[in-house]
Amino acid sequence: MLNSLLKEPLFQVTVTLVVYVLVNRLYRRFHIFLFNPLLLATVILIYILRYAGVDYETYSKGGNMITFLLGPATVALGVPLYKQVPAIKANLKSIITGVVTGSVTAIVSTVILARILGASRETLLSIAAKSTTMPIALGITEILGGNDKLIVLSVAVTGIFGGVIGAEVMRLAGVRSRIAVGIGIGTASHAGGTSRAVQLGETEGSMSGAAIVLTGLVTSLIAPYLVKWLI
Amino acid sequence: MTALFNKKKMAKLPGKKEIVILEGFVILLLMQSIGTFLTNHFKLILPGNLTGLLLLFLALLLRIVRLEQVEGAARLLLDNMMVLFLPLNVGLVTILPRLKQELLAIIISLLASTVIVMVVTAKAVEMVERGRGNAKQPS
Repeated sequence: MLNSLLKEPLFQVTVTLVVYVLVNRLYRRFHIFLFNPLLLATVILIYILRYAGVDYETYSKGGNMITFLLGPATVALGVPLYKQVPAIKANLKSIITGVVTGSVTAIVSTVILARILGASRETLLSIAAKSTTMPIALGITEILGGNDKLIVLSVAVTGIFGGVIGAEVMRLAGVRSRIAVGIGIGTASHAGGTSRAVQLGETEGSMSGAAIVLTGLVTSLIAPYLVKWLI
Repeated sequence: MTALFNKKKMAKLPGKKEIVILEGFVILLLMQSIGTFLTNHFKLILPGNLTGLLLLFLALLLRIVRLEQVEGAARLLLDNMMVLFLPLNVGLVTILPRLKQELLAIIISLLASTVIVMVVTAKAVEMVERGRGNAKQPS
């Protein structure tokens, strides 16, 4: 009887949400940096499913119900974009320059580097959008024909790395303008980098935040053409 | 969320806050639907969800939708974005064999590119700002 429950989407959705809620609580109580909640939750879930004998295909029936919500979540990004209008207007030229330069650089550098290092064509298509925020990156990758799991991993790695090294890279590169630091971090590493930019100061945080959705929009407009041309 | 579990409120009809979140969610779905339709119909390069994002943004700018109507639902989804990716993350096990082969190439290009993008972007912004600064100086 338990076995039949394990195959129900009900179980997949419930176990996913339970793991998320518990890991979030743990994370809030013991705020240790290495304790990355997404990584921890993923590992725990994989082990639970393996122990319960649920294969990925069965799991994804329930998983898809959760993934469905990424659609409205993408639309929801219109809200932070609207709130950032004053900040964007105040620095319009800087933001547009930074975001367009950064979006092109991100696609070109990722694809060319991976290509030189011998990555396959499908991998190139699956990591090209890595500097955009998760839900947008997924939409772009779907259009490019890449792998949805690989882009999720790539976006997470980019965000975590950007948060860890952002401030240091800007210092070493001798970037003094707070606006430039914010736009640079936000364009390169979306929300992961922005969480660090916020700690650097108000200007850095708001500029980094403003760059996130705009980078996603610009990248989705140029990626289909640019990637095709690069591969 | 706390209001939902508050026993006093449980007995009453849903509060205004809960209805607003539901309404906001409906608005998000409507925008996504219209966006997807426009993308498919006019063969836009923008994914349908992103067309929906722009529609919501425009609706907010033109005050067709008020911020209070969608803020609650948007926050609920965006603040808990992580859980929406968990199923896909779990799916990484299915591409593990190929991933192992190319992992080093993938990680190196991701990390190197992140540094390159940061520096190039910031330098480009500084150039624009310097240009603006010089232009202002004579006056």
